[in-house]
Amino acid sequence: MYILGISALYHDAAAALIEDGRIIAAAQEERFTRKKHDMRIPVHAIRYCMDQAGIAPEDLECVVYYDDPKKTLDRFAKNVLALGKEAKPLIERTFTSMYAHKLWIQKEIARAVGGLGKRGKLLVTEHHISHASSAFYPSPFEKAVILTIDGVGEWATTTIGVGDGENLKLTEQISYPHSIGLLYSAFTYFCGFKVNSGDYKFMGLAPYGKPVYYDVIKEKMIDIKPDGSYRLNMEYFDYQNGGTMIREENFAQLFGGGRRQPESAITSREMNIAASVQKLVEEMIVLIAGHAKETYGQGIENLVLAGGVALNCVANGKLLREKIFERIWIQPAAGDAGGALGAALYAYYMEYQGKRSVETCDSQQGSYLGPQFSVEEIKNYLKKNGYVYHEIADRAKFFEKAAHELASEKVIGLFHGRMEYGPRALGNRSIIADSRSPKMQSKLNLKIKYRESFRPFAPSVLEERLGDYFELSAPSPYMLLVDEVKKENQRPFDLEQLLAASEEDMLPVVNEVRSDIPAVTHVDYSARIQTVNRERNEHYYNLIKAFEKETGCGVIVNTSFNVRGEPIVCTPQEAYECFMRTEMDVLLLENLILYKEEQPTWTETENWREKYELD
Amino acid sequence: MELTSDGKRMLAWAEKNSNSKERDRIFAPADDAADSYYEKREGQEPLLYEYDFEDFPQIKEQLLELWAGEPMMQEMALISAVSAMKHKPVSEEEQSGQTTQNDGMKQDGEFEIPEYVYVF
Repeated sequence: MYILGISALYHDAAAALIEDGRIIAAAQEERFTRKKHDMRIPVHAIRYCMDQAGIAPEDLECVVYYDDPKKTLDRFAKNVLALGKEAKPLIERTFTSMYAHKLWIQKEIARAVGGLGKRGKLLVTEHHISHASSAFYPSPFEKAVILTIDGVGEWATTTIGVGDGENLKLTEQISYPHSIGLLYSAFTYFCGFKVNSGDYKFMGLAPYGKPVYYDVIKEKMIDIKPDGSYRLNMEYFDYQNGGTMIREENFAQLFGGGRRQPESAITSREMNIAASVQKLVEEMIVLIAGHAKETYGQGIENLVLAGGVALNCVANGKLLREKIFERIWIQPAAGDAGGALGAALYAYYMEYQGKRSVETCDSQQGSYLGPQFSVEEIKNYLKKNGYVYHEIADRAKFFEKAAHELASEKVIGLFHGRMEYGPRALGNRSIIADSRSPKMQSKLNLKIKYRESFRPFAPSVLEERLGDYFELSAPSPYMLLVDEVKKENQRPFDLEQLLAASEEDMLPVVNEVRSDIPAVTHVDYSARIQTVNRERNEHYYNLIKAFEKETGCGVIVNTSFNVRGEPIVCTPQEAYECFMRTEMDVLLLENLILYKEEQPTWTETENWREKYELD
Repeated sequence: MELTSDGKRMLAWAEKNSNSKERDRIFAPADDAADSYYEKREGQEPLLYEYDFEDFPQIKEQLLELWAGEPMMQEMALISAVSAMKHKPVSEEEQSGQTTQNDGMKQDGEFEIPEYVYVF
């Protein structure tokens, strides 16, 4: 039985195909259209999923959409009602999307898929049910408490529930306009970052600051009960009015000035705001988890998470350390893209009484669920264009060569196997580098990713060496947990003094060596860790293993294979283009090695810096 | 940007029916006396259902049912049903020459959602 799940019309459209409960394919539309966070009906992702399975639309049992249009209409209508005569901006902004697209989702999807399968009618489920399902069903747990937190679905912004075998039930929620995701996005916006894509930059800024605004935010902007439930003071926000995220005059009064303009210098104010909001959100998530455990978690030591806020890996790390639950599993595509998968799975288990088979290390298959390309396809592309490559048939020699280049501080584009599903690159569409290099963070930010210099890079570590480098005690295969570099590997430095001395130039701060693996150590000694084992990704594991053999170090830098504003590369062509547009030294396409100096002169056919709008 | 006639009707409906009690019900403010803000999820069903309508009577019936027991919403049900039908997607036959890539939220030249807006 094939079931196709679809998310679209908000942000991060995606398609996911399952067969008898097993994930066959899943991908975000942005990877095909090259438009970051593409929200349109994912026609390309749908086509990929169907092609991967080799099926036609009539072979589908059904198609499931991840959001309930009528409940969303209910929220919109009541929001309009609440605003009264002030509702004009909201109506203007929402009218077309609601009446021309969301309400007609059955038509849009039928056209995109080429039908609605044997069922003949579109199934829809609730947004947070989709998140919950994406968190629970692929997890390695027979039974778990479920927590979903995002900006907003139809009405729910936070939900709590329980999954048991094939069954999933959400029992409590907090409703719009009160939302942790929207709170975080509001501050992201105030600090001059882009809503939806800048949230993790805001998270990365937090360690540079002190939570000096924590108290005033708690006092003025939000009421948090001991059980973690909360309500926002809407006097500070504007999203419910159809305007910007915030009421800037009220924010300005509280934080001593207006919004930071995008791309302008980041000051200590923004750093301190980021630190304050991060501290607050962590506290809220811990309280909510505590309430969930107390209320629903008797005898359950497992927690699963999804919703965009579950991508806050700093909060996830804190949650794990609190030991409210022994084990935590987070859906790698925790945002709306994962809703496609969750919708399909929910239909399979709850509508079609599918039987669930729990796998020890989860059923997400490493989240390598996207397209792959054969060596022949890649060679044909390279030959056709006159690009120079070297094929190394001997696998051991290949990894040896790659490791040697890494150890020589070369920056390497790594393209292998199936593309990742979710926002993190996990070794199949990654740019990798030597974690020991003190200059690597600056080099990668300025010469490869062309992004803000304060932003940290993340490590991939051999799973068996995790304890040698990091305080984290559990595997983190999807790079969704942050913890500290091992205390004995840390090197002391005075962040406050450096910041004071550096004025607006972050580079001296960033270049300060903070540990034995400086390229992946953030200014507070934290790291967003990916553990790599042979079972999930043998190719990537072997590469890091070869690096360890050469250098003794079992950690490398792993950042996503793209420049700023660009979605992660999908095809060999996109990989090559990114390689040539940046100062990357080496490109590995499966077992083919390409050196920058051997390539023909690169001629741009488009202004890619304009094409990829800064995120 | 000018509202459509239905948008204006919607605004007029909101103006007519809105009051501070409604506003506080929908945008519930902080309540010092409350122990908790969690809401129980009874009555959220159905959580998975076949979503389908073709014509005005069908969508009208569904929206009246959605808002059954809410007299203030009955007018909005009609406005929404009419608005939906005015925006019914054209069929494949009527759409010859367009590619499926044009399905979705934003086409070239269409109203673009600003960067500061969280899409919900």
